[in-house]
Amino acid sequence: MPLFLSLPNELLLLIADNLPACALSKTIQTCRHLHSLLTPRLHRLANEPCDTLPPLHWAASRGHTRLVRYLVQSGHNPDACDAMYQTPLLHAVKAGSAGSVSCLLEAGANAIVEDPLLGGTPLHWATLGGSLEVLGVLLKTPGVSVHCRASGSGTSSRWLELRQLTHILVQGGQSVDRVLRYSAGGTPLHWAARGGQVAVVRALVKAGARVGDLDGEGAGVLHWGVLSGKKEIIASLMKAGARDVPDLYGESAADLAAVAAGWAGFGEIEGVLKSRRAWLRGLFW
Amino acid sequence: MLEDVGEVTEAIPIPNVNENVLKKVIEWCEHHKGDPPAQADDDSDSRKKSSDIDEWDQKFMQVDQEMLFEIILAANYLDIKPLLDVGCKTVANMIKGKSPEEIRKTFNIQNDFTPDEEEQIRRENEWAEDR
Repeated sequence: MPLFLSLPNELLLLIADNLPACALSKTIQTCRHLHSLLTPRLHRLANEPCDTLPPLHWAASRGHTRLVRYLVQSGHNPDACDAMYQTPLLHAVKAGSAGSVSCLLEAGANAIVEDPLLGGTPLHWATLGGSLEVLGVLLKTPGVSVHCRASGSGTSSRWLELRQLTHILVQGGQSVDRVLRYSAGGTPLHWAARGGQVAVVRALVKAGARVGDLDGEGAGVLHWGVLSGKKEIIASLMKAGARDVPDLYGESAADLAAVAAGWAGFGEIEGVLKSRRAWLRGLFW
Repeated sequence: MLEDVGEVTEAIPIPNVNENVLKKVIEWCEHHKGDPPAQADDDSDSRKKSSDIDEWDQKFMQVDQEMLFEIILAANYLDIKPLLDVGCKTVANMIKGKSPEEIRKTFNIQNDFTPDEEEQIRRENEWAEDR
């Protein structure tokens, strides 16, 4: 009587060709024979693109550190760009995977590459993900400076949210486009302030980030902090010595906060900003 | 295969295929004799289509494992590609969605890994759960 395992290897391989990666991996885990026979097939799948991403980018974006290591070792370029101009390192940072970040850096990935689409170096992006581990790995990497500048137009999900709000407001007849100016030239601390995670702000200050640095348009970390909508961020930055100095257009963070407070009058967005209103009022005055 | 041997009058020996299995194979061939010839491009995305087994074939393949493997072996030996394909897909469908232990049970496979090895292999292949 023929058993599954007594089928000739060529037939077992034909069967395996009909299995998706997850089922193939389960099959490989059953016994030594299938492990040695089918592992090359699984590796072949590992080298295929997934979700429109090249294999290494996919692995990094999912934080699959072992796969990242395997792919790097089998010759994938750690600095290759995907269709959205992202390197695997940018994916790993955005995914908050410290393991994958370390692995890519060990393989020689460019640690200060800028996201050409949205701006920001890996360190900038690490401030938004909130993984202190990733932040720590990057800060320890030679060549990475806590004072580095984002040359592009910095964008985060919060930034996009603000952009949408602005769009609504402009349609409503009130221009708040000055909010959009605070973009280029931000330091990681600027980004962290906007990102709204107090622990990240503290970690950067501890790593020597200067609270007095200004972005390309003279805006300080407090200006960016207002965009986070979080009182604790403002408090934490002020405690670290940040001062509210007017930017190149003569507007202080307090002015910006006043504008943001005014947004609350708009029906649809009122709910979004309701939580912020309380602290925006009277925070600086 | 028949083209290979040319015009023959004497019987062609098929020692590897027993009568019951041959009957099944002939039944399958009879049912599918009117099928249009297979497309040449079916290699590339066979993985995605693997669950596409037509209803008649699914019923046809509802046999015990012994017979299923015999059919696959016969289809391979007799070089009947579409039947081989249906057979392999049927086995693949028996594997999908199962844990390693369930696969072992289904196919009577002896686990010859040490617990350490098993754990290491599981972790190495963890990424595959995501695809």
